[in-house]
Amino acid sequence: MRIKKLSVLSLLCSVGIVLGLFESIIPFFNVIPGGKIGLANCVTLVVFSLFLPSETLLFGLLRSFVSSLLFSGIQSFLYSAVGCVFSVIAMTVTKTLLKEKVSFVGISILGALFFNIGQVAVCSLVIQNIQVLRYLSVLGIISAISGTATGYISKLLISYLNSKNIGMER
Amino acid sequence: MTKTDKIILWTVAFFSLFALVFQNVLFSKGEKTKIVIESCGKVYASYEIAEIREKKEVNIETEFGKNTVVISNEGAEITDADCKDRACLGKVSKNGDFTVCLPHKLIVRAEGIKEVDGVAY
Repeated sequence: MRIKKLSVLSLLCSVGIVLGLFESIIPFFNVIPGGKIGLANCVTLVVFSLFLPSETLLFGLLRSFVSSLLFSGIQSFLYSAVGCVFSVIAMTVTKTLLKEKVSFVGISILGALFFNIGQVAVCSLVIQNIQVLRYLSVLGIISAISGTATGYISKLLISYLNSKNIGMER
Repeated sequence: MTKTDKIILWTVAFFSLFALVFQNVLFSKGEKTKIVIESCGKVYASYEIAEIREKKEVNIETEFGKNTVVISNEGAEITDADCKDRACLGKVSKNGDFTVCLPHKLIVRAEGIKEVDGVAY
């Protein structure tokens, strides 16, 4: 059981890394610095629905660690790590508080928003300039759009995985 | 999409849009523009745009790396950086604009300054 979990998690992790790379080579998505459509976040949402929050956190940290080593340099790991912790906490709180009332779209939007909040907070601390927080308004609009998109995509993904019995019981 | 989802979506979208409009109004005050280059919270250099006659190229070398900023009477522009992602390349012209170079911990921003032309009694 543990081995199955481990292998499914690492498989999904590599899917996430490749989706992140795929997205970074499409110039359309890189117009606004920090703004992404977040294809890799679909995988994070699938993991969130199939596994425990702690395992999702582990997954997210591993994915951002490998991605930052491969593509953008180790210093960017700090930003995505904090963003990842923020977003998993936000998604877990949303899920436990609202339960059935909220679907993946809502969880996804809040996850994206809190990812950006974490990132901008670290950025503001590194640069030592509070004005950087103003950029959150732009990122907030982007998270509303991309969060809705990834929410719908992962909804489709999860129902497909469930119909094929690939999903795992908790 | 459930009702709660819609509430979340519109709350996030509305507040972000509101914040964007609000800060554009708040930070674009002042007739003159000052370009401030900061690194690690310390002011590295600052220029008043109105006093600049011709294009000026400023090379900023910190312990983290090198950036080239071109300052003209239209604003400032980071034209080159010796890092990988070069996300900081961009123009700063309106009051309140800024561009950030994360790996070099550098921020170039345009600040509006109020003109005090005489005191009325």
